[in-house]
Amino acid sequence: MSDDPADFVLRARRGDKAAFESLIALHGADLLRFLLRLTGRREEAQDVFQDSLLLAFRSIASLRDAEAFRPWLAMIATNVFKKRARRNRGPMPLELTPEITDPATMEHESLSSALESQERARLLRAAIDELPARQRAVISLRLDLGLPFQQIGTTLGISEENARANHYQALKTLRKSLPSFSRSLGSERFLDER
Amino acid sequence: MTPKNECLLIVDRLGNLLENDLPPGELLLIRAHLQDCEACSRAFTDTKSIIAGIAARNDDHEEAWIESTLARVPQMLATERLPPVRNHDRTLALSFAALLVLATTLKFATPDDFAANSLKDVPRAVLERLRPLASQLRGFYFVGPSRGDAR
Repeated sequence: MSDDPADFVLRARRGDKAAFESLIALHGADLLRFLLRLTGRREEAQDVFQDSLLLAFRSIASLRDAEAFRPWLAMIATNVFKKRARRNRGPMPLELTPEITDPATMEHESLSSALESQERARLLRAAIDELPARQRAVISLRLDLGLPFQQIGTTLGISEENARANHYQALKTLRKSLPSFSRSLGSERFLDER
Repeated sequence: MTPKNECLLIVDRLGNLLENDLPPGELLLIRAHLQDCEACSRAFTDTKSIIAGIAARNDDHEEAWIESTLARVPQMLATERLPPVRNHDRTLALSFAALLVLATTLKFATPDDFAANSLKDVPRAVLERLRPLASQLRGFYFVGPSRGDAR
């Protein structure tokens, strides 16, 4: 039996539930990251994820291009999110509460760097949550799901240029809202690295 | 171009630079500018760090939540029946049958039928034409070839 993702799609189209689950094992984590950034709340992200899975499972026979499962799944999830947002009529509340690991459970030497890492992650998450929804979606589709701009455009129902422009604006805003981010990472200068 | 305007253009292109989405000539110009301009170089480092930070997956709680959610996928799908297989063959066959009916109608309908806007006799004409064929098929399937044929 092949482990080729396209083969999983073909088998799932024939009703093989295990093959569909294998596809979710491959793409689900990135989809959840995307939904978490899109919704700003774990509970909401989980609901959208579950609805998207069921919808994808029921309609996978309509997926013609087996290679396009990832953007297809992202598009389903985006549509489910939009539908729920329309139904809820209003901005989604943001979950910005940091969750810090209990220091008592951590090794002493790794404590400092782990806390720093968590703090950076929290800052970044908070800054992303502040972005307009479309910019959040574009950033996540690009960086979490690794989709090309053309597919991002298709997924969100916008043009490729618009997707690029949103990506640019999002990075610009993040740069402004996180002015000391790279310094806190201790990054070297780009040109020194090359 | 003033240095400030040049900086604005460079910062505009930082995303493209990180995406390796620049023509070679422009890439050289931007790299040369970054070499000399502290502010643009810092903007580039910031952008790069932000992208790296998003891709870093260093939020342990988020990763644990993702893992636990994925572990529940079989449970989420448990109540779901197998997806109805959209049978493209069946769709094709139905389309073909519809086309056949249309073609047969056009073949057996006389111009008078169309002129009178009445096609009610067409099914009977079609059946009459098909009856000999049907009886031949029935004979073949239920009786089999005659002994004379076999010899």
